[in-house]
Amino acid sequence: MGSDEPARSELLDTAFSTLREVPIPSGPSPQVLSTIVEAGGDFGSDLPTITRRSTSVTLERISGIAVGAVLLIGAWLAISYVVTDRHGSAVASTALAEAYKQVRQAKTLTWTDVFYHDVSTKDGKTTWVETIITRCMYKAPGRTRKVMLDDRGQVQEITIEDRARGMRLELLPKEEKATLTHLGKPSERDLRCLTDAFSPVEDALRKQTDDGSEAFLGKKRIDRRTAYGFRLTATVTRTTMDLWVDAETKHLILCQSPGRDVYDPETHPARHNRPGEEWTRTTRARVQRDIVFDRELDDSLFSLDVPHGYSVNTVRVPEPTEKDMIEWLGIQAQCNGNVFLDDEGPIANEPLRRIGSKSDQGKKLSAAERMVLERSRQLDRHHHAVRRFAEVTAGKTWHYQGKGVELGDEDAIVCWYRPKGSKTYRVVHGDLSVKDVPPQELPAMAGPH
Amino acid sequence: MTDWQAVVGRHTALVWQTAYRLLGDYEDADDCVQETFLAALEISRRQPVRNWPGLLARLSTCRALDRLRQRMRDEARREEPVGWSAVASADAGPEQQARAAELCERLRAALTELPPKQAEVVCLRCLNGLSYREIARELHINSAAVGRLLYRARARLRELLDPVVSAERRRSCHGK
Repeated sequence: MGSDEPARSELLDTAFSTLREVPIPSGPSPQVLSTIVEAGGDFGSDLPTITRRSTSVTLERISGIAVGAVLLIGAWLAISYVVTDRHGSAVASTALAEAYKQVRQAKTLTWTDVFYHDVSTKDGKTTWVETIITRCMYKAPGRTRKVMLDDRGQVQEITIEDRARGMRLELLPKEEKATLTHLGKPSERDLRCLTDAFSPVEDALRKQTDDGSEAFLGKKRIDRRTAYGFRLTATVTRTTMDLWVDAETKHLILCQSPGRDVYDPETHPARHNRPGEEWTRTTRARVQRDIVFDRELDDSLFSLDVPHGYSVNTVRVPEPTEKDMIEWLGIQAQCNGNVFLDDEGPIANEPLRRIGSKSDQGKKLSAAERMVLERSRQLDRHHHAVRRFAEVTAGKTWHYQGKGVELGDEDAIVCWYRPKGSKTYRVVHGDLSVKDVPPQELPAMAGPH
Repeated sequence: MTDWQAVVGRHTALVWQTAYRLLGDYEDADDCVQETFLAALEISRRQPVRNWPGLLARLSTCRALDRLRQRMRDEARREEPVGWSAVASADAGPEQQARAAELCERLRAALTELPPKQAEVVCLRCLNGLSYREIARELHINSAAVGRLLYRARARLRELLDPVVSAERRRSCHGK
């Protein structure tokens, strides 16, 4: 055998060199590239990322979606989706329109929400699929009840939310613990959802009708019913969502996002992998099924009364103030080399993460880093302070133009807004000072929104 | 967001090549690229990434090897022959092409027989051309350990490719 060694070595080298020189077609596909880029767009925002060190942070807070899943579809459709091609039949288009009409008019809705997560080990080598099932109920106006089940079908968590009252109750039955959260005043969008959740959908549907198009997926049998399928595609991110509507009753039967061709829970390669030690998880897909309209739902299901015997933790989500907003802008700038960010959107997570990671590793922080970390922790409760401030307090008068402005520059304007009931604008400068300015003195170039 | 797009733009070719070379299948490579970048994104959310190409090479190699193992298991279950999806060179003659394709598939199959760490190291070294030091840094081991893993991997691969050596010898004997 020893005499074979040179031949074996040579063959091995040849094999590697052959593999290195394999002709490689151009790739990956545009769909995959788009998914990857889009994933980056969620960087630091709402996509749940759970590390072992912070499992309590973002475990798919389904409760965070306050109105029902179907309502969400409506808002989503209205905000960012357009129909995509001209294969849908007139009958099918009517079916989709009718389905939304029914959703809009529903007094109650019940459905099952299924999230598919890819869970990975720390080294990223092993990935398996975890399915989280939540039974959901919606009752107008703006009340939801969501019961999250564990993998044995046992109740893990119950979340009841009343948007009109701005209250949320979370119950952990096994531990008999309750958290009652005062959410504060509902935003304009919240309020619209209470009474007229689907007016934006009508606009989208009208657009669809005008265009005479939607991506029609054809017909198939779902739960012993014949259903029409439609594909909606986000205009910017190109994320897809498939909707299936009962051909006869026009009831919405099933929603899946992304579309089945992007992520199919039944054929996903990792679906049979054995779980390892969890380190990260990423939500890959969401399916809403078992949708039932106008079932009788007792008000007691939406009661915000804490059950007897439960320990209660009461939380008040503070309204962000102007001071919070300005402080946070300043911290972002500090984290960004003393320059304000390009936009007020997602917080400057990267520098904070860098400092946080350094701290976690026990490395010595500079005085500035310690200050930034401390301040960011203090202000963590206002994670999206600026955005929320813009939405809740200032409405459409909010305008940000801090891109490239140096922290401390008293002449440069970072942002402005008009407080409710005020005739003058509050203008924030690079040195974080605030001045009251009449509308005619605002910079003419950008102008208030 | 801009940074992420830059990362994707800069390193997609590396990830795609790594995945396609190992998998020899467009759709599998496509999935592998997606998984790789999503995994990298997750990692970057937890900690700063100092060496994107190194991280992406490691992740894409791991993912591709995982997929390759799965494929081999599936194909073994179906008792179908291993497919020759990637031909070595369009310029080579049919026989050479077939032989090169067979060699690639043999090597791919052999890689799935290695312990994961050895497979990873040998791929990073022999396919991606990473130095011992770079591999050591990515795998959080020292360079000596890389050397040991590589030695064992190559020894095992030589054994696994032995039937090919015998076949080549028989072929050359017939040729004479």
